[in-house]
Amino acid sequence: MTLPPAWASQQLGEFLTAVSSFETEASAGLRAVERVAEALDAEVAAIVSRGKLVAAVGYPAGATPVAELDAVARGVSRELAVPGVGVCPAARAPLEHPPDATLVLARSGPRSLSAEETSVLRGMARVTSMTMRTLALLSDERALREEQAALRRVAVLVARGVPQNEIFAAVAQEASRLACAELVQIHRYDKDGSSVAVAVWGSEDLEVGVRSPKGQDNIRTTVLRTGRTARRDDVVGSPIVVDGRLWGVLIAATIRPGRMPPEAEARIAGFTELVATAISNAQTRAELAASRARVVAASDETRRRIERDLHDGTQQRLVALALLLHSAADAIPAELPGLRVQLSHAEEELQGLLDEVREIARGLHPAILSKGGLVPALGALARRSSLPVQLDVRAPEPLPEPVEVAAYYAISEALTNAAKHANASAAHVALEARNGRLHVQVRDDGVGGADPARGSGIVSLCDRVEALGGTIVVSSPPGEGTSMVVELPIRPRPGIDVTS
Amino acid sequence: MPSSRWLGVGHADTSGPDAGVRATDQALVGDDAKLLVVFASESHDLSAMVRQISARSGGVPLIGCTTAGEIATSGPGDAGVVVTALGGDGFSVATTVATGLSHDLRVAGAHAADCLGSIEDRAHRVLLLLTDGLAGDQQEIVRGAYGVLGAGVPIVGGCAGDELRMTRTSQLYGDRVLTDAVVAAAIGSDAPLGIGVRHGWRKVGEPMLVTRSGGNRVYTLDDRPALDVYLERLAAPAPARASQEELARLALTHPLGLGRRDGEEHVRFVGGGDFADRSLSCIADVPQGGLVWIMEGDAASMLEATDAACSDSLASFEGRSPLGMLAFDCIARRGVLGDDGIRKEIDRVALSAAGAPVAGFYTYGEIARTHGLSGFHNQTLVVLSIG
Repeated sequence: MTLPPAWASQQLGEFLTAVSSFETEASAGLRAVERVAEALDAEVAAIVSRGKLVAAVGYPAGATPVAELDAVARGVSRELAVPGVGVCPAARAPLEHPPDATLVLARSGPRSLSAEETSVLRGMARVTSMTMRTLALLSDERALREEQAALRRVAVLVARGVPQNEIFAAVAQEASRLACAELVQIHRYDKDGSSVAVAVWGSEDLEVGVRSPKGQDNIRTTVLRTGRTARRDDVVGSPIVVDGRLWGVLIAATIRPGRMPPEAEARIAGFTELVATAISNAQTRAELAASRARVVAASDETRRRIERDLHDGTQQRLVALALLLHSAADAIPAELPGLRVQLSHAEEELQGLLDEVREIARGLHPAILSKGGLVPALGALARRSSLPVQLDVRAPEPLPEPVEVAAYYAISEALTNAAKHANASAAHVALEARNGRLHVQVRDDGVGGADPARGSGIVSLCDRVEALGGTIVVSSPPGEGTSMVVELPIRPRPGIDVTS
Repeated sequence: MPSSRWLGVGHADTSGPDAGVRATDQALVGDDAKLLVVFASESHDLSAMVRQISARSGGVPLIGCTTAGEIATSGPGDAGVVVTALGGDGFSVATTVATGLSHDLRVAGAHAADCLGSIEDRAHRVLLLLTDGLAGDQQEIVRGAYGVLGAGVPIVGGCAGDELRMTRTSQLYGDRVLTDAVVAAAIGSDAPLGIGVRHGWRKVGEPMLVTRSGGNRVYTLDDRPALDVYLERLAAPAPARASQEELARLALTHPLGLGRRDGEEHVRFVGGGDFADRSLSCIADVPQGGLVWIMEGDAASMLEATDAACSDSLASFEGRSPLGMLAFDCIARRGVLGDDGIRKEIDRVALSAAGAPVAGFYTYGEIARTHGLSGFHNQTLVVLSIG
């Protein structure tokens, strides 16, 4: 058969335009084999790669003979049996992409492809390779972009120090999307080989907090045993290693066989690293908070001891000395008035010294707080203040001692600053327990403009409040008074134990 | 014992209320009817007609469509209805319908082809498609069907018409009247089913490169406005350069041809031009990057093609006469042949049928896939001979 003039350029031109317009590698492959079949009047066109079918037309749905196509692709066979048509001569052209792929063609009739048709077939194979490769690269790039965005979203949560259960839940959701997995779980291993679910996505059979026993044969126990990523069909498990120790496992699974991409392990590995960082950060934060709490507790104990020493020792001896002086003064003969005056001065000095010691002891540790609780202590504080103080207390008693002590010192510091530096005429103290937290606010009507960073009192208060997991905020715009708001958790906040 | 097969064609010229029933009565020439194929003018009350036909036939599976003119053994006509019935234990038939065609032509084609899996295995099989040609690129329907059927089952049929209004066509399925749909019948037979495809056009001059096109519209040829190039090549008279009507008259006999390996170009009917943006509007997809030729033809070449199509469709019959012939004839060929020519054409088809009945319609596009994957045609005659 003589081909029409310009036939080859016609076919290649149309082919190039058609195939390059598709959006995915898979659709480009399918459309390419269709267009090859149309251009060369072939009954069958297919792409085979390493024994697997990439795309084919010409066979009834579900009846593509992959092995026979592969035989042609490998050059073992030169014909194909096409149902309803008969045995057809086959041709092939190598593709540079997908890897080791071949474009296979079968056309009925006695004539094999002419040189011009073979040239067109090879040209189409090249266009197909380039298009599929480009689309694969674009797809990879898009997937990478999505992966980076997902990792970034989780990384932001980690950096913000949100509770672990929120991070675990976010990781499970993001991993589900990226790994094309309907089911995602995060388990924490315990020392006895059992595990606890700390995040569950897409499963109604498992809840957070449920413990799975040791000894089962599944992906969870495989990762525990090997410490490495494991895959069984459409289930992937990736280890979570915190500070060099196997902490848990991130498991992703699909209910649609064959749908989980080969790169799923790599994709979820990025998340396990973030989970490990979140856990490590949380442990570090917990250790830091515990350390600060220990420092504050030791400091408080020292203050209490010094206060007791002053009260029981120095103070008592000074009182005894005052009594002694008083008795001595009474015993001075009337003819020695100068001595009486001197002793009277000594008594006054001693009384002043006693008052100072009492004030120091009270500053070190308000004994009334230990004896009577926060409300009487605040009452005493208000009475001693040189400013009129309005108290508004709506908190239950007793509160945990560290909470009462922190609240007392915060209020004491704020009232002292109001009296000494703010030129205030009055102060208002509000105390309320709400949603498991104690809210404290001290406001004055002074000049404002205070810089909390420059006051050592506020800095030590921050240590004390933050050691309890609380927050402290000072607002002091010039001319508008000063406000200090302290929030303290009344009980340690519940959360997932990350320290196992 | 040889299987029995029969085929009958009924025809009613008028659009009276009982036209469909009268045509059906004529067509039902045997027992055990398996399929009714109805080609009807849209001037009928189609809903009433298909209900009456279904009631009359006792619910025999029915597919059909509206036309740009009907073809019966006695000749071409307008405003009528032609019913083909086939039956007997030598046939097996299954029908289906896919709606929402324009939403996804490929998926609709695949769905339409599914019905082939429902028929008994026979030596000869064909998928008959009647589609809404206004829904988009019809080759996509062929690709979708081919993906299900593979190379072993030919595909044949045509695109419904609406008497050249080009606004809305109807497809008939059972007692339903649809639009934007494809209706299909998978036919299995113990005897051959032959297909012939010819157009009778020939190339004129040098090819032109389609430098910009989108779907059915061609914007530039050889990097120049397509309408200007087309008019220059044809040395078009002044009226065709200013009047849509005159341009359409010129284009009717000068379609574009897309080169194909077997030399039987795929013809694209030029429906008109845009005098503002200087583009050409075709009835089917003209791919960018390809080469096109201006084609020409006349009554003589059209009729030669008619003979050749009939002859091709009977090639596998080994001299035996068919039970009947279905003709899917492009409306544009009707324009070239004229009233006298189309009468001659159907006479020739009937002559080839050697006394067997003939049915068909004037289409907005023809479907015939026998070798390879290409299956959509324009300005072409497709003949299905049923043995």
